[in-house]
Amino acid sequence: MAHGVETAHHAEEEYTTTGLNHRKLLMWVFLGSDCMFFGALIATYMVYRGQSLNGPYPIDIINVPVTTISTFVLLCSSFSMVQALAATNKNDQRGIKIWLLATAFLGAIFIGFQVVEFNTFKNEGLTLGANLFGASFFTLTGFHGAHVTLGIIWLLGMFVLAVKGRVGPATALDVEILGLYWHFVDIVWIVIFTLLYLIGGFDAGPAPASGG
Amino acid sequence: MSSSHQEGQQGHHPTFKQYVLVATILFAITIVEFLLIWPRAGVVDSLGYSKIPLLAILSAIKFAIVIAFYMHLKFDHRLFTWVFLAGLFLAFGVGVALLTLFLSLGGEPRAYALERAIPYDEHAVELAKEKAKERAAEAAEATPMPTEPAPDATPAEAMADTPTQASEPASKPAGLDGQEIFLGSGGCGACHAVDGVSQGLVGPDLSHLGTEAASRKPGTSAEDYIFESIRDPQAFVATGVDRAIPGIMTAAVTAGLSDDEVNALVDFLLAQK
Repeated sequence: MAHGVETAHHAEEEYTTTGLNHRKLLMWVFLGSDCMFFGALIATYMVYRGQSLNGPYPIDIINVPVTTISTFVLLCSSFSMVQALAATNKNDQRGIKIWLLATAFLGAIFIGFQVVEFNTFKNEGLTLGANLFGASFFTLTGFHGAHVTLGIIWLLGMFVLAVKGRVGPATALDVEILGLYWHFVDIVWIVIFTLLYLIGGFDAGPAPASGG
Repeated sequence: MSSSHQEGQQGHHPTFKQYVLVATILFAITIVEFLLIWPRAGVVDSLGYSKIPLLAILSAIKFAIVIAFYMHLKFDHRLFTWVFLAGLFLAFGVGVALLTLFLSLGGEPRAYALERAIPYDEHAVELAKEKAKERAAEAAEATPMPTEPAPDATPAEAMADTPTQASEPASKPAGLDGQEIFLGSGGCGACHAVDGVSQGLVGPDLSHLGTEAASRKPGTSAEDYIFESIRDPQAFVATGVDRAIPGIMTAAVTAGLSDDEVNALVDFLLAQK
């Protein structure tokens, strides 16, 4: 812990014009821009919704119950992330390690669900190039999965630092910024889950063309 | 400000109990959302389209709770909130603008899609069976035809027939109009274009198949090639043909057509020079 205080690289009296920490503000600006990134992908999905000319259609393959479970897993990981930050603030070294690892583990389970889902879809004939549904679905959920994967790597990196005893109140901001990123990934999934699964998951294909 | 300032704000951070409460609320909302749309819960039918605003509101609440408490924006400096909301509103604006743009086309893209849609393979097989049944019923009612269409022709049986034997133009019964089948029961025109007959854009243009067919498959006559391409489309896919995409056109799509009908189609297509 003492080591952690010494290596705290953000000076106590860092001068900023806003009076706010630069890195934290940067993370919030990044999250704002990431909103636009996902906003564009989500809007694209919604515009192309129901426009596919051939199957598989969402109702043929989307599994809402299974994805509800993976949504729970991601919500749990947000809770454990909050606990990791609380433990950091309290300098609870054991808690830091447990909650960071738990968060990474839950994130990995979510990614596991997604890998199985993508593989199932592929076997059912839905690929990136199969139809508009496949293209917009995989682009959106794939980029979300990439965000989660990056978050897992970040969490594991923080866990390694925690094992070395270099995470504590002095570096709480590092954990806080990581937490902001992780929770953002969670809220993006809240939106994706609602639009692609709860609302769009029962979309059937167009009625077969009558008599050609 | 500095990290010492962050620590100074500890009093504002939610306690463990409050975090558990927040997590419980998030879980509860997710369960309610799931029950709203899961058919076996029995509420989705009575909700109709009102489920969409309901789900949107519930998700927005979840979204706000995570930001306010987990990301403790509620307890943090306002500038963070504004920076994030700026991005969020821009994203929302882009989405609304894009959807408005598409919806203001008066539903044309949807109609366009519907006209040219190819049913998912499973649906196609069912549809073909239904059509075959209908045709059998019609044939039984109508005046006796020289040959009755085989209602139970499965793709396997059809493929078992060697095309060379079955495709003798001489075996074509009178009274079957290839163009009628092309546009009607066969449904070919939905995907294939033929000058002056159909405008399908999904599959290859068949306007000049009569002149092109002979050179498509080495060692196979134009008739045999077209017959095989209808009966078992994936047996041989010619190279260098626009929109010849394997996987869309399968034997299941044409399983409902009798050999006589396929022969009528072959004659019709051979005439497209």
